[in-house]
Amino acid sequence: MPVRRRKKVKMMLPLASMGDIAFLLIIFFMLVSTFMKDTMDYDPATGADLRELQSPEISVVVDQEGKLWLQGLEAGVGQLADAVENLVGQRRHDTPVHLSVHKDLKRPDYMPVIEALSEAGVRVLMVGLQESDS
Amino acid sequence: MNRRRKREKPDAEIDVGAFADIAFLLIIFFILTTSIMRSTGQEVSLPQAQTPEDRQVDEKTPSVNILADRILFGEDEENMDRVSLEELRSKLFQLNMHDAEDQDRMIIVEVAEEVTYEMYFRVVTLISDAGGIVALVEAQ
Repeated sequence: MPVRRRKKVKMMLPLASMGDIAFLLIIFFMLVSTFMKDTMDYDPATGADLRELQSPEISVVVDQEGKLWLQGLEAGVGQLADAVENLVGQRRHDTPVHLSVHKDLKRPDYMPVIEALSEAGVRVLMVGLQESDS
Repeated sequence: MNRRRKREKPDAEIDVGAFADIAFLLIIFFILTTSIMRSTGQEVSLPQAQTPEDRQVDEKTPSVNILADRILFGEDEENMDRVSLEELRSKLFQLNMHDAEDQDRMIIVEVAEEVTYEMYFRVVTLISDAGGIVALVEAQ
């Protein structure tokens, strides 16, 4: 009896769609990531009844050494109001600016920053951690 | 005449397996380095003025003095009461500032040199929560 050789089946996984999904995910992560240009070390202040804030359009940080960072770049307090005004343009009243300050800083370190933001006329959202009930 | 042999069709396919590997490596990198964090905090109403010195505040405007070891609250500079944060909260909410005009929502906040941001943040977010506008006072 003749023996028939079974035809070899060529197995192939279509990987092209996998690459598409992967690249979509990469694009997503690239859009939501913000890269810190330098290190900013700060401990946020804690408070009660804090709310979830909308995403920042502009971020201002005063770190534990009292250094000021605007959008991740070191800046000077003297130029802060003008720099923020340039960033927000005409939309100053509806542009949220997140202000994060190291909790142990004293008045001379944080008050000029708050005054500069007030001068720029932007919406200041102070960032802090919700106090735990325990 | 010999019949021409049919030319075998070349198998034209790009191997995308390596592509996917690179893509997934990049995804792993982004997952590890991204922190998706929702910030919490409070929107603080600050008077928006180019020339703060031109702004006049009523003598009866409530004010909060934050000192290193205590908080004082009152409408009269001579007669200010020492309050805790909880007492300050209830006094501020009694002022019903949410429905008031802007000038009636002003709360003067004076801060001593040595006051930490943590204390300032607690008081200021409390004022905002009660519907107040924080009037900044420059040190004399």
